[in-house]
Amino acid sequence: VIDACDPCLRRAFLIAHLAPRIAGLLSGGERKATGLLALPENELVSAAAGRRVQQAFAFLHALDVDRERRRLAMGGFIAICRHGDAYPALLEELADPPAVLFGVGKAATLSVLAEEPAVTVVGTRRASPYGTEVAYALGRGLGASGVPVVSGLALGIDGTSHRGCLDGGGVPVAVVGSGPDVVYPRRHRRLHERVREAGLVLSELPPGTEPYRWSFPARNRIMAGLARMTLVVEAADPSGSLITADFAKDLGRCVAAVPGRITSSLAQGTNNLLKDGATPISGTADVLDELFGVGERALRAIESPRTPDDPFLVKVLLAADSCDSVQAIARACGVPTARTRAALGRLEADGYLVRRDLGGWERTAR
Amino acid sequence: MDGRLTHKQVSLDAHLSARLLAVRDRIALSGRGHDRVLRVARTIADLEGRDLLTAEDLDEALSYRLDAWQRVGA
Repeated sequence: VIDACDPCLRRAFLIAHLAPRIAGLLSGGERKATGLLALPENELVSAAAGRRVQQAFAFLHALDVDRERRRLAMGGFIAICRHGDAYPALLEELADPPAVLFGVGKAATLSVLAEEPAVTVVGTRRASPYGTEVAYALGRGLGASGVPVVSGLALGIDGTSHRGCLDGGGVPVAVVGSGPDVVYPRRHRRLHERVREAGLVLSELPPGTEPYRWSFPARNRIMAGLARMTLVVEAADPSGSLITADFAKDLGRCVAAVPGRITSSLAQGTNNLLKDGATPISGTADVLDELFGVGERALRAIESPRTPDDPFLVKVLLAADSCDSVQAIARACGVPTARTRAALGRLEADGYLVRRDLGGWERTAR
Repeated sequence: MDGRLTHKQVSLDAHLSARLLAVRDRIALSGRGHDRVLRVARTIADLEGRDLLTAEDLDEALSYRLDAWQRVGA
C-alpha cells in the first residue's frame, strides 16, 4: 500500500538524508529530536545541515519522488503519509507527527489500529526474570483479548511483550528506530519476521535507513502516539521508557506502570511513575478495565498453566516450586543433580519455569 | 575454540539444532551464547564418555547458561 503525497515523501527522505547530521547535533545530552523534527523544510535544512546546506538542497532537487514510490511498491513496502486515509488519526495529536509511516507486514493492521485501542508496552532492555514474565503475560493477555500491542522491538521487555502478544494470537505493532526492514538488534531477526507476519513494523525512516541514537527517542513519540495507554513494565530512572511515558503524558493519554520491588534499580522508573499518579497494573484485566471501563471487556480466557507431557518433568516442575537449589530438587526427586539440571534447563527453555531474583524458581502464570 | 571450530567439533542432529534454535528465540540467546551452550554440552557428553550429544546434555548446558545470567542480571 503506497499512499503518500510528494511533499510528505520529500520530507521523509530529507530526514533520512540528514540523519547522520542530526546525530551530531543531539550528542550533547539532548535526547528528544522532536523540536528539530517539527521544523518546516527550509529551517530543518539550515538547522541540521550545517555547512552542507547546498548539498542538502541538491539532494532534494535530485530526489525523484515518483521513482522512490515505484521502488517502495516494488519492495512490497507500506508508505502512508499524513494526508492518506490509512494514516492513524491518533498520531495527528503529536506536535510533530511523522510525515510518512513506512512499514513492512500486513497492511490490514492499520485498520485494526483504527478500530481497536492499542497499548504501548515498553521497558528496560536488561529485564529481570520478574519483568520478563510480566511482560510476556501482559503481551499474551492483551493479544488474546484483541488489543494491539505496540512496542519498540528492543531486547528485554519490548521483545518479550511482543512474543507474548504473538503467542496469544494478537496483533503486534513494532515501531523501530531504523528503516522498517532493518533488523536491529540482529538477535531479533526471527521476532521481526514473526511481527511482520502477524502485524506491522513501522518507522518514519525509509527502508534501508540504519538506526541512529536520536532515532530511538524519536520513535518513542510515535509509540506513545499510536496507543491509548503507555504501559511501562520495568524501567530504571532515567531511561528511554520514561521518555515514552513522558510523550504519552504530554498527549493526555493514560500512563500506566507495573509496580516493582523497591530495592531493585529496575523498579525505580516504574515506581516513580506510580508515585506521580500513573495507573498501577497488576494484570491484563487492569489494562482492559482502564481502556474499556470496568468489566466492559472480558479477559479472553487463556489456557491454565501448561504442564509438560513427560511425568519426570512434571515431578521436577512441582519440586522446583518449593525448593531453592538444584541439590534440593534432586534430593526431592531422588535423581542425580545432572539429570535434575537437564530437566530444569528444559523447563526453563520451554517457559514452564522462571528464576526468582533471589534464587530458586517459580512456575509461570501462563 | 572459536565459532567455526565449535560448529566443526560439535555436531547436532536436525532435531536438536531445531530445538536449540527455538529456545534461542524464546530466551534471546546471542550467537555467542548459542556457541557457548554447544561447547558446554559437548563437554558434558565428553565427561560422560558419549560420542553423541543427547537432548539432556543440551538441556543441562542451557541450565548452566541461565545460572550465569542470573548472576550478572538485575
